[in-house]
Amino acid sequence: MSNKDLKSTVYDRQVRVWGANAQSLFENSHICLVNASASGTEALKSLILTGVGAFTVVDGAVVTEADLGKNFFVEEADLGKSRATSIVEHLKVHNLFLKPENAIAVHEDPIKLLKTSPEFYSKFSLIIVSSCPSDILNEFTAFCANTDIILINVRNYGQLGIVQSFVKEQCIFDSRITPPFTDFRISNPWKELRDLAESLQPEKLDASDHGRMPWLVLMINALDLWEKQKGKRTISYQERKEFEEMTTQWQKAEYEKAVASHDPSKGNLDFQFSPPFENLDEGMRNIHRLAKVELPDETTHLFRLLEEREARMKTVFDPQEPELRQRFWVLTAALRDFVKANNGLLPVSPTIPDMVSSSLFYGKLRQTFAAKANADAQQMLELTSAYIPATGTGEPLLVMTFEEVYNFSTKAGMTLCLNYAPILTLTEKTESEANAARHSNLATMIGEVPDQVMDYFSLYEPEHNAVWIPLVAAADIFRQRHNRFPGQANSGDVVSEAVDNPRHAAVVSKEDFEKDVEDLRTIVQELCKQKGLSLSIASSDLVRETVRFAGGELHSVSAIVGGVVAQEAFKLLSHLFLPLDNTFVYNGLPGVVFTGKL
Amino acid sequence: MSQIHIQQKRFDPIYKQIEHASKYTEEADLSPEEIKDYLHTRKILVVGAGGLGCEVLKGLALSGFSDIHVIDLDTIDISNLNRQFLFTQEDAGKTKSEVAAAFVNRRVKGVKVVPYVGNIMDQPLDWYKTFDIVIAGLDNVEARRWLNATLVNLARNDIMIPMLDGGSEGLFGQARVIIPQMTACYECTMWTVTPEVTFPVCTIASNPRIPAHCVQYAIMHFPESHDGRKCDGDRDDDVDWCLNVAQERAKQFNIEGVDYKLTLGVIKNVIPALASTNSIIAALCVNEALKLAMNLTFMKHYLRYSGSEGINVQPLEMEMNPDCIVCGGAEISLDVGEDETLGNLIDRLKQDETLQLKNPFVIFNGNAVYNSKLPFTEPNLEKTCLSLFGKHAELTVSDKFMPDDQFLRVKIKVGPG
Ligand SMILES: [Zn+2]
Repeated sequence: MSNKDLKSTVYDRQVRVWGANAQSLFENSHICLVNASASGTEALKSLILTGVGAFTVVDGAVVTEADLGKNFFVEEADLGKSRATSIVEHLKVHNLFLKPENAIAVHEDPIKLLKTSPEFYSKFSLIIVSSCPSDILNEFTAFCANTDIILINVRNYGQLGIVQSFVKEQCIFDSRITPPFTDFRISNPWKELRDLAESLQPEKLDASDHGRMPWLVLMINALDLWEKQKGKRTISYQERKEFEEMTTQWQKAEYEKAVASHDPSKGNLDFQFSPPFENLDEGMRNIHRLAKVELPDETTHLFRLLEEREARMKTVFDPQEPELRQRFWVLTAALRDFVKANNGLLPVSPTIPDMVSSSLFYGKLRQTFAAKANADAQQMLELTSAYIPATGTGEPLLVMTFEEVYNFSTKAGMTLCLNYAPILTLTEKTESEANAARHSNLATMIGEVPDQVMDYFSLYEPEHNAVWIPLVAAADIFRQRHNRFPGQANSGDVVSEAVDNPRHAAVVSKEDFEKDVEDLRTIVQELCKQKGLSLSIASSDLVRETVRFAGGELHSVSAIVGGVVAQEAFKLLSHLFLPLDNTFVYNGLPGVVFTGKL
Repeated sequence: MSQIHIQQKRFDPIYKQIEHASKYTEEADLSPEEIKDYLHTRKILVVGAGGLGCEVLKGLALSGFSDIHVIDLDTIDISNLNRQFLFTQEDAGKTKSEVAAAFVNRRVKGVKVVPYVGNIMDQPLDWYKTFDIVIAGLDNVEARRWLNATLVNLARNDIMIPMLDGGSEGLFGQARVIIPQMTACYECTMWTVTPEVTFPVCTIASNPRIPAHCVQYAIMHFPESHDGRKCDGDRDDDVDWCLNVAQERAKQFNIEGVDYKLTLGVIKNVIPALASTNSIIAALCVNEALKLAMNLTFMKHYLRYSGSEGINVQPLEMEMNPDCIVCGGAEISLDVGEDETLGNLIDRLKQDETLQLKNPFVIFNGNAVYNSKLPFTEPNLEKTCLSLFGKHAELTVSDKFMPDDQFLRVKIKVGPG
């Protein structure tokens, strides 16, 4: 039986969240993990469970005791073996449907590979750079900006977890953002909806039907009556009471007339069931939906991006682009033309909420919406053809199906396009003007840092936690100078040669620790001066906390940010939901989170 | 290589947090070595070995905990495999806690996970007493309420066991820290729990509009043709029967969209679940456990994660509710009308949003006045409170989620309307 096949059962609980289309887009992706740290491995684990079709792990390190303490996908028998190979072996069993050739381990230094054969990385849909110092991250940022590959940086630094995303241009077919209002077209019903409402005016109803009228129909009729009385179709906040009163009186009067003339052969009336009816309550709860719905800001912004694109490229369709993006812009252009041709209105969505009403009336209403959604999608489909060039033999370069257009047009208000700035590390080699603006934005977000770590600072102002970005950058600069992170031991047992350290495991003396605090403080000060950030960062307790973190990964924090990366990777690859733009910081000590655009 | 040596190598990043004091650390009487030892010897209970439980077990095993216990009564289903990574296809039908424990014990040397198969409500209080921390990854409110009340009761007897509670649904999840008698308990904030959506019976019976209404109709009529047995979402025959009836009904009322997936979802009240969200929420709980065991500050008190519109994280400080039925005074006063029946009174208690009682039973002067399991108390529902209790009375009310020795005192005063 097809509906019970293994794959649909395994993925049932997640496909309920995002649907089969998003699942299959995701399954066709190839994800690359750079450096199999704990956080990166955790991210990959969730993505493999979710069903990603192919993955590659690039890591030149071997498995050490340090890995056994933080990474679940290595075991004692792997000690001394290639970390990439061990992790791929342990991870691949978690996707039942993975083809063996699509689980790839590359035992090489990821950064050397990027320098010698960058084309190796060009085949991926998404690259996750995990727990790499920012000089390595900068190289991947530059590569991804040039090649149009999605990049996510994940970093676990003691109790800190950082996630940063970059996509040149993210086209989102269905952002599922909560719209201010869905347009049910109550203020300006199309012909068939108006006809339906007219046929169901209170004076035309049997007494038993008054309470079974969907509020949406009732409100269209009430708004018409309001217009007759007031000469306008708007209801101010102060007039709401008056509007309710008017509708109540009207419904009551018509109901009583209908009762008087009721034909008993049509059945007995239930007098328990009399005005005021629930449909009016529901209607009043939705009174804000009676106002004319303006084109969403997101859509206006999208059309502006389209114009810029046309001005830049002199065309909507670009055969060089990935197909999904070609489709997105052709559909967006059709949508713009549709809106123009329909007095600023978006195509209708067939989705209406459940409401108190009889099956019959609700069914009629639903069918009216469904028919209009179909007709609008059909019009959209016709509009796309103007933007699709033909081949020499007259074949269109892109074939649009009705289903595809329907999916787009019924979500029209949810369509978005995001342009990301490259990941900001504060250790970039060259400074651009754009970055200067970003530094001053960062300076504003962080503000002044009190000398003492105080509860209110960390707890109540999550946005101040952007402060960890310069602090971790300073730790990276420290590492370049000292070949270890501040707070790490200088000698002792070597536990890791991997890019993510720690290199040695040994207790650090109080004197050495304090020296690191002062050295880091100096670096933070230099960095803040250079980037225009408040010098109070350098004098605060937070420098000391950074040294305490000692550049190490904790499994718990790695699993938190690993999960965040997996959610974000799915959103970016499926072009569904609104992704993070562009920075997430978890500060585990008080347990607070910063999210924002840096 | 000595054990100490291996510990130092494996847990170096955790030890670094202990060796040099944080400004976030309360002044401790313990030396760093004592704290390390303290962390490694905590006895910890994981409630639920499902989506969150699997992640929690992995997290604890790699955070220095070695004495880990896990309880679950469930068996493994194929639909768990998209997130419950300690299970494979071959494990289907086996008990979750045993398979999960075996996997972690195999993978992480030096860790011992002890499984229990059964209902948490059947475990004796003496068993709960032995734990230092409890992490709950449950999928239902009733079990959470019971566990919370049990731990608050222990705290009243000076056995303080922190509870870290996680929950997830789709791209949303929440994690919270409950230190019984010190911070708000689960019951203090029942208002944060959204009551289940139920459809009015008349909609199901005569005005179906959406596919779920048709399935509810099938569920409602299922017992009539199955010897009074309720429909069971784990039995293929039952689901098929409901699917058939629901599709028939949908056709009759011109409703589209009744399929197998939807039918199963309604029958089993399926909660959508993702690997990624479980990872985030479980790890948040584990990190709090780690901090508690390292004498670091804990999160205050509740964190809600939402990944659907960007990333939205709401931290929420929770206040203890002095009138909480579990950790507060546990006493409420109600004015009762002269002709108000016991049935009415019970309905009022059930509708109270802060109490959210499901199936309360009422005791007066040591005798059961109403208990749905005792048929002889049924007629009392129709009697007036005045005739049953007099003008002033103190009733003892309890519910299934409340442990045996815990009650809500309801003082009633009968007066005209
Ligand atoms: Zn409480």
